[in-house]
Amino acid sequence: MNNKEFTKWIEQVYATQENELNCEQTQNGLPAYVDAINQKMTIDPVVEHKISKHLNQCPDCNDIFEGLAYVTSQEIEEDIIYDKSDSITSSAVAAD
Amino acid sequence: MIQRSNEDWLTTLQKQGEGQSDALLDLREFLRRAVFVYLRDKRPDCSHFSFDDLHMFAEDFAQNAIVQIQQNLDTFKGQSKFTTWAYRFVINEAASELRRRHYRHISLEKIVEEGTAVLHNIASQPNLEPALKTEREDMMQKIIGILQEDLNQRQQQAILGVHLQGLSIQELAEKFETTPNTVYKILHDGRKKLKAALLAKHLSQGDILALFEDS
Repeated sequence: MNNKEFTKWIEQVYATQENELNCEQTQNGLPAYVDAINQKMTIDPVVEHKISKHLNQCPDCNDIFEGLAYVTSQEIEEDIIYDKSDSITSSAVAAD
Repeated sequence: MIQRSNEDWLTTLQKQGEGQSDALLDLREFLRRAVFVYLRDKRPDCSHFSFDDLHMFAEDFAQNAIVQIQQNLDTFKGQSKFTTWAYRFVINEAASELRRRHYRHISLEKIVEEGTAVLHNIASQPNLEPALKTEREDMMQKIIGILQEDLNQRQQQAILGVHLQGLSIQELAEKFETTPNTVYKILHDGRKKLKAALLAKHLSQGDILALFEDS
């Protein structure tokens, strides 16, 4: 741990709220939260506040959030449904 | 492959028959691709694997996720796209397995010992002005004192393990033989106590950060 990580921890301690969502509640809310972000829709400020507070405190849930936000932004379904070039296979071949 | 609404997904996946088989195959393909992209682009810890390996992992994760999705179909409330809801299972599956590969396998006693040492090291870095070093050490001693006196053993282990040594909540949950939810609650209770004790000593966030920033 370095100074930067220590100061982040101190910020997490002081950001602690009396009531916070638990991991299950947060993960259940992530799909709708991520869809709203991707579609640039307004998120209920209370929900946004609660989920973002939890993600800032919980490395495991933040991993899931970042992964979910990334894959849902990649138009995976559109590629398959509309039979666009097989971007995964072709990029894999190119990278190999 | 056909485009499906949330309702189409739910009704076809819930009703046995040819439609269900087709929907399962399509969903499996979405999951497989999604988790492959996740492993390829978002997991530096997978960068040493070949694309063939990643495809193989993606197959396994997708298969496991399909089973979980079928078991949890009745929990889908339609508040998101069905596929976004489904991707959560496969990302969770992959992230969970990768976390397992990074387990520290450190004992609970060592977590406290090493976590406390981490805090001491932060306070007494070399090349600090003597006055600043003394101020930092005094502040750190107050923080360590609160951790030891105000928090119970589990709360100390959780805070020192997760926040200061990078253990995952999942690993700690296995060590505590409990659920991640419970570990999060232990962490939350520990943070609340630490914050309250710091404030009771009239120590603000700014007081602490001023001592430890910019060096």
